[in-house]
Amino acid sequence: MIQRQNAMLLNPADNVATALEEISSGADVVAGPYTLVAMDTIPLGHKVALADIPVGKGVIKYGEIIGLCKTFIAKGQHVHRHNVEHRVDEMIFKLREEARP
Amino acid sequence: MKIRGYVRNDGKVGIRNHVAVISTVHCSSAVAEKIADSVNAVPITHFYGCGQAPADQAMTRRILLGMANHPNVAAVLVVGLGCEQLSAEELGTNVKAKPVRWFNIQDAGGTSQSVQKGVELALELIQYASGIRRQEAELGDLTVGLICGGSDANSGLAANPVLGVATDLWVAEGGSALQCEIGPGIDHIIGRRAANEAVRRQLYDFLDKGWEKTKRSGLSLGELNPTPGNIEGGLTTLIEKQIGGLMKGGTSPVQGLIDRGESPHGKGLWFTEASSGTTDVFRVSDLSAAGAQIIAFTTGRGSPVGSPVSPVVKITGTRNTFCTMRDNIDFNANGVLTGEETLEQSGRRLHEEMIAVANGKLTRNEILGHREFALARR
Repeated sequence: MIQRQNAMLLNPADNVATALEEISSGADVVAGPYTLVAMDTIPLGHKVALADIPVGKGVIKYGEIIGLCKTFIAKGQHVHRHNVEHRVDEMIFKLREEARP
Repeated sequence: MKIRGYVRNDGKVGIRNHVAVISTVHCSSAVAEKIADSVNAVPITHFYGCGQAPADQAMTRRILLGMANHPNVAAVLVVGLGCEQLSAEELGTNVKAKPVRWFNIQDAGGTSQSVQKGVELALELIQYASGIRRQEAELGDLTVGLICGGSDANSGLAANPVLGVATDLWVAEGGSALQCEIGPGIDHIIGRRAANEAVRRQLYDFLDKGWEKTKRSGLSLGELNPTPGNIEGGLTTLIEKQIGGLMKGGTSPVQGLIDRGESPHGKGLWFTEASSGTTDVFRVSDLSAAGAQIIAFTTGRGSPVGSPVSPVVKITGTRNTFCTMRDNIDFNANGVLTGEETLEQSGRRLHEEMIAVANGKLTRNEILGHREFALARR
């Protein structure tokens, strides 16, 4: 059976997808080519991990690092302020000096 | 790619053939509107044109001349009062490559005689315009203005990424694109997108102003953004929030940053300083004044806003908005969320819709008479 997509994958390089409806813990997450089980309830518009993300590694959406993982994130878990470092100013300034046209 | 447009005397290509009736000053706006309504011309009226500080006055002049010289405008009637800062003669003599007439209400002898005189002049201009036929032109001669307004959670997931695909196709055809709402928080991504080192430095200088503005408030930008409402909606970081808006410009190298109402200096993708700190009407007006023949406007909640001269293609990723605001929405990008379409497929379909609009298909704002216009100030 082909399941209806309930999460949006924006870029093939992403390790998170965005829930298009509330996904209950234990329910299937279907996003592009991915199907996995939600480990937490994922509210509409919130992100779910498509793979394990170790501490210090980038959370990738739109093919870009949107923040660094601050506590281990397992595949299927809710990804938000509790496990992603949201203070990104310093990182942006470091990255921008390295950015080249 | 070939389109059929109105080729002006200076070689610029329009996709509409309007006659514009422009007021120089707020005081002449009512008369300009009466004239435009009498003959089915487009009124371009505003609150300024006199008593302005030099920087604001220069902006008024630039934006009004941008509208008058817009390739979608076939001919222009300028209506002045007679004693204002920005005279009708000053505007009229700077309209190039198309018929232009101007007069002052104080010389014509009041409202009734001004309306009569204006209608007589506009009649001639409309007859002239009606004789111009569409002819073969290049899509590459067109500029698309990119804007978002009334955004929701789907703007960054569907509407903006879909427009990004369409913008890439537009630029690949040799066209220009002009994107607004550039702000700090994704400096490194913007920096990588710069066409060269000089552009990168120019973009960083602009972004620095945004950082400094926030710093003065004593808080870091990454702590102020996303807002509590954004966080509740699922946005985690400043970078995530900012990328959602940037997506509408696609992936082309950025050729430079230009001022409000200023035209791109060449082909490809350009950024404009027209900022999100204003209403959507200001930004649409800025993009029109910059010469954008067509405007692509992504919206989440829905918006009726149009332009006097540029057709505005409204795009939403939210199914409910497409249904409830059906009057005002031209393109439904919701299929990328349901899995009915890929981003690539939806973007191609939007590109085709934009080409149809360039060839004369009316947008909903045009049909409904949405011709909002607002003049920027410094």
